[in-house]
Amino acid sequence: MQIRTLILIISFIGSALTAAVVMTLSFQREDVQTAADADVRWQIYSDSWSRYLDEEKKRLQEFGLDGSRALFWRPENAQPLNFTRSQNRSNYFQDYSAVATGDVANPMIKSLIESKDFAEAEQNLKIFFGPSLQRGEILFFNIINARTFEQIVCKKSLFSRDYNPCSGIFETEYLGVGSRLELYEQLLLNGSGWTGHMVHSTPTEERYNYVLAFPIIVGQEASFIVQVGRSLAPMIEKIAEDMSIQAHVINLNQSPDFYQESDPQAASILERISPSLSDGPLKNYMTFEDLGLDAMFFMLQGEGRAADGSAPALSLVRDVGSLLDEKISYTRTMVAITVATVTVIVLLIFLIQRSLLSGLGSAIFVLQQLTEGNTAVEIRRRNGFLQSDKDEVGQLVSALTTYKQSLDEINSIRREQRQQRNRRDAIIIEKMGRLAEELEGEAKALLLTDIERLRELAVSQQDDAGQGADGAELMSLAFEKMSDQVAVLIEARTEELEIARDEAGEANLAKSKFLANMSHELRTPLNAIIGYSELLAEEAEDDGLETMLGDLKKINDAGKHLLGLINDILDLSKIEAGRLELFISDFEVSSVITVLQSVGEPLAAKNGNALVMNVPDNIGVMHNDETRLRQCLLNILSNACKFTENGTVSLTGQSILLAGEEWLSFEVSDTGIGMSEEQLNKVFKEFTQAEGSTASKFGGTGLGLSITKQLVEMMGGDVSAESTVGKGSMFRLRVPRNHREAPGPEETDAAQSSSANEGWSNPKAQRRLLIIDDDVNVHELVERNLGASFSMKFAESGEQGLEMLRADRPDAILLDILMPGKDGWSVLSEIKNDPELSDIPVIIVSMLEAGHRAESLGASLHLTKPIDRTVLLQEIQKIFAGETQGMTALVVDDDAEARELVTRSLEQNGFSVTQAINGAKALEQLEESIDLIVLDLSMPVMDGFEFLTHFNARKYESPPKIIIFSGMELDETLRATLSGVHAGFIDKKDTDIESQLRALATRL
Amino acid sequence: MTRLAGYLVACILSGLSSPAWAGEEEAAASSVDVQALEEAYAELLDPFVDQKRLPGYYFALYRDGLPVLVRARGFADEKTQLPPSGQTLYAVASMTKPLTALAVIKLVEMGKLALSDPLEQYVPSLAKLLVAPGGSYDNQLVPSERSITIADLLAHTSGLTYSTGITGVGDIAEAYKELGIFTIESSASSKIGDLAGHIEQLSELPLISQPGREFNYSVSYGVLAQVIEAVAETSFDAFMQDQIFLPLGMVNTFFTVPEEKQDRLARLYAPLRRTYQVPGTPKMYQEANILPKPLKNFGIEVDVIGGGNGLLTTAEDYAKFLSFLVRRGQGSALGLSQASFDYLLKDQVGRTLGPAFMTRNLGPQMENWGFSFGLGIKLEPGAGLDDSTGYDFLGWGGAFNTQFWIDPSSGVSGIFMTQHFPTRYPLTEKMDEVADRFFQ
Repeated sequence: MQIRTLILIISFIGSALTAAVVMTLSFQREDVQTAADADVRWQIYSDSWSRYLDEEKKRLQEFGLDGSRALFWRPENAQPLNFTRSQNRSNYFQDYSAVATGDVANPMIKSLIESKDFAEAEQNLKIFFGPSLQRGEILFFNIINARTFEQIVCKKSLFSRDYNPCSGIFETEYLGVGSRLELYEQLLLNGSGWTGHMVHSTPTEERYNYVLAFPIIVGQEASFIVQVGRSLAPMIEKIAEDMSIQAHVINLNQSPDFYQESDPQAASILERISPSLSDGPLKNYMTFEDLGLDAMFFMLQGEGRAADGSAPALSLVRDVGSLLDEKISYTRTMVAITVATVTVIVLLIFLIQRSLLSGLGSAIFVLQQLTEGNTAVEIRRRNGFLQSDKDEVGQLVSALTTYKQSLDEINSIRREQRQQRNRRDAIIIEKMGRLAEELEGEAKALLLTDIERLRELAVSQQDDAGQGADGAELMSLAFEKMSDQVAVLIEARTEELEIARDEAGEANLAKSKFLANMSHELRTPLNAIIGYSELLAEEAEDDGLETMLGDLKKINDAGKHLLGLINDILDLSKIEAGRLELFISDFEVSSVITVLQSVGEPLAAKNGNALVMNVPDNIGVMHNDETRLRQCLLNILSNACKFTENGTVSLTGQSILLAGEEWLSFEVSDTGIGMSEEQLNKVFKEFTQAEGSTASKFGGTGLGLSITKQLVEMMGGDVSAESTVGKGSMFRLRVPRNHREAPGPEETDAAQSSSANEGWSNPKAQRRLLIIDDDVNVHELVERNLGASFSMKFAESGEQGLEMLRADRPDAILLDILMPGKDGWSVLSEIKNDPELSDIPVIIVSMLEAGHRAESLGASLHLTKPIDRTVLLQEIQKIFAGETQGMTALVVDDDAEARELVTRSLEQNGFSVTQAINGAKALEQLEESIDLIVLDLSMPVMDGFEFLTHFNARKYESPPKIIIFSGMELDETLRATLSGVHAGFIDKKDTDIESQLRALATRL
Repeated sequence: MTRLAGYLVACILSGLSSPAWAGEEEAAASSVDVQALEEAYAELLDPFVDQKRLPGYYFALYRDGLPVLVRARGFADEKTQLPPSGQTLYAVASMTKPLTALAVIKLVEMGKLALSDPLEQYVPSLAKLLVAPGGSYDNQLVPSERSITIADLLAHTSGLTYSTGITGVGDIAEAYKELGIFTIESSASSKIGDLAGHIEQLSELPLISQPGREFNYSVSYGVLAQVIEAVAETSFDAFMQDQIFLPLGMVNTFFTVPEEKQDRLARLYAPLRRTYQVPGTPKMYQEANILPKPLKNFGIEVDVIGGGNGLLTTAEDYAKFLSFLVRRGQGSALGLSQASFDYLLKDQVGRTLGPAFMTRNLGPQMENWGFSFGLGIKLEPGAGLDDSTGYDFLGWGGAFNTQFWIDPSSGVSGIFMTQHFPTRYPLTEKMDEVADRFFQ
């Protein structure tokens, strides 16, 4: 049973019981009160009735022997009607002398005794009784002969028309005494009066009178009996009127039928009290609810029945019909009110309960629904009367609401997940389908079937999440199948790709070799041409051969022009091939300016121009490619000199701040021929010069500015030109002081993909290797080769590598040099400069041109062939601080002309020079004390690199200075290698990388 | 209209009258300005109708027994729209008494009884009556000093009284009332039986004064009916019809109205008591309720026929009686000696019993009135009852406001008929006054 129902039932029973108790008590109280009321009323009625009777008795006795007119009855009174006198009780004026004689003096008595017609007596009696009789004060009087008991005189009131008490038809009974004769006897015996009830009855009627009876004594004898009677009826009427009730005299001995006609009410009362009469005396009062009557009973003569058995009772009947009705209606009202109250209480409780607990019901419903998994139900807020979220139910509802909310959230998350899964599945299926399309044969058909089933399943799963397990199983199966297929496919493709890559690599290598060799081959003869022409020119000058000098000079110029041309072409081709690499280092800008001045002055002088260098000495250090900067500036400067005659060429350098960064701005302005706007637009285009005729007039390939522009852009700067025809031009070149590689798109990709490569492969391996290379193929290769022995981690850029390095502290680092952004060299220098990282061995892994192996060999300088003697000599002077006299030098070069050139240059500077044709020879000759080695790199038997390796192995106390002197086009890598400090070198293209690395690692 | 009606009625009446009067008709009619006469009476009487104090009236004036003026207004019965006319039957109540007196005188003349005869000679039960002095039981009863005589009865000096509903006062009158002895209502419904029953009741009650000592308007004429019955040995009703009404030509005079003439009965009215104001001139009368419910008047159901009241007659019939008196029996079939007329038309109670008791019994309007047998005598101012020349006029009325007067000196008689209980509008003096202006 519901608690609500239980409470409702209990409250109903409670209020019903309370109502019943209250009603019972009130009824009992009312009964008691009614009884008390009735007692009081009975007493009042009884007293009233007694008082009436008493009054009546007095009135009647006024006529008797004790009344004020008692003398009327005295036989000796001769004037019975002289009441005035008779009222004198002393009787002074009464003549009672007749007593002595025994005569009767009273004419009335006399008439009674003697007269035949009693006329005298009647006259007297009429006077005596008349007024009272006619006023209705008495009903009758009569005189009875005491001897014969005959009625002599009787008079009744005129007003009593239907009842003549004088008539002899009535049976007479005196209550308490008995019959007429009995009364008479009693009167005669006692000689005194009697007052009481007289009943006249016939078989059909009963008359009640209140009677005074007294004897008249004549002589010594009671001769007459006088009766004065009053009808009880008016007395009863009076009390009825006074008390506002109905009154009856009922003889209890009579049957109810007796009263049926005369007094139906009395009949019905008698009918109802008759049964109780046999049990005992009549009750004082009774209520007859069926009659609507309330009756009080008084026995007319004392208690109980008269001596003769008659029992007339005065019944005072009150019509309590309306009272009873009122009582009934009151009871009804009370019951109705009680019922209504109980109903209202129960209803109220029900409503309050409902109101208070409605939340409970719905909460239970909601809870059930939630339990059954139906989350669509809503929890109604309780906002009714007497409802509060603070009460217990409210708290329950709140808790439930919170619970449901989290359930809903979970559900929605699940739904979302499911949707995502479905989407993902759809994508997977779609992709798988597409992949399967790539396959062939039976596998394809099989896979397609599976995928189709999967698709169907996926569709059916949209609604039904329960099938997820099967679908997942099926999908994993399909995946497995497909992955097998795809793995096979991938392996096959990978193999093809590897072959292709190897081929491409070889082609690339060949191209690089070709480029390097070609540059070497082109420069070597040019070197000779320029060098020898200069030597010849010097000698001719010394010898005074002026004519030859001019020719030699022309040869020298042509060679230099050609060399410039070759250099330009090489640069351009490298730029275009994307192979031009910047060598970023820290350098003094002033040194660049110095070089420019020394080189620029002769150029300016050629056209009679003045060169003005306007650069502050403290312009500071720059982190960029020194060579390229110099090249660019020189290019512009030489252009300026070229197109200016007898003017001024000025170079202005300054440090500026652009967008928060420090830049160096160089402006080269001239007072030359200038350019038109059209020309200005084309000035940085390849193979164009200001004018078509320019080349013929001024010479030049027209590549200079184009290369300059591209180089400057590579350095992160820009170049612009302003010009006015005939007035001159101004080229502005701006380069950031600190070079920063613009992060290219590749790097972004690399960085993203690298994040996927988190963690170390093969964590069980003891040694950990960090590979920093932008080429993911290399990662794979390395992992495949070394994965078993090493735990590896891969970085795809220098920056990333450094981060990993700092975070993971690997046992060794494999470092690629050529990387976008921070290159290997920068990484390397950062590693070495960091005391915490400098101990970690670094292995350079670089895709270098074949044969260009370089180790950090401690070379002091490297120069590029064809040698610029001036530069060479300047460098040498710099190295030895000008004290070159008596110094020994070893020139190692396979090219005899180059050997000779260098030797002669050195000898001119006081060196005693020995020569070696390759590294091996040079090593042999190293036993001697040598101060300077000029080393070519590209040599047969033992090239420069190898030589340097050996050379470094020999720990000299004061090692000779080495100048690399090579026709080889050294890329930045090689150059850095030559001047850096390295633990080893590995050529990536070596097939035996593994063994080499193992060896290296062991050594570490 | 009334004037024309007056002449018309006069002509009709003359036609009915005996040829002997025909010659005087002209003289009577021409000797007065009838129009002025009518205007004078209209001025006196019409207001009662105009003010709706009475539903209607019938008035007729005669001189020397000949009609001079008839005036009727309103209705005798509003319900049946019965117009008042000379043929309308009115209950004349105490106007019965003069006729009873005439009957007794007639019997005396016939020698069947003497005025001095004691009553118990004819009605034994009324012998030796006790007397309650002052009509009060508070006074000790005393035996009567002498018997009541016929003359006592005729002159209301018997010691009997009327019930309190009529003119009586005191315990005895109260007893009359309670017992219903000769009350107004009793003639239609008597609880104590017929005439004999009433007499029997009277025998049990004391007188209010010693016989012959006081004038007390009383049931004496009722007792006279019993006397007449005893003397005539026939019923009072029959005697009256045969010996009085018929000879007088009063053919429409009844104690019990024959059924065929009941539609000529006027309706009895009573004052309408309003407890609120009504605008305009509202009716000040309504149907009387002293009768058993469906009855419109007395004379339909008759329980007791006495000599004091109960007669229903028309104005024309009663005028015949008045003419008889005025003309002192001249030309009448009812033979009556002039001596007998003297009894009827001269004071019979004497100066000492007269005016004082008249006013005591009947009110201040009876100032200076005396009484003969059944009718009063209005005295000229300062005149005495002993000298009949000092009489202004003779007249009497009924409880229902019917009134008549006769002026033997001028030969004028008049009758005013309406039906309104109780007596409210004593007009005889005023009507006589008007007549006096025209007929002196």
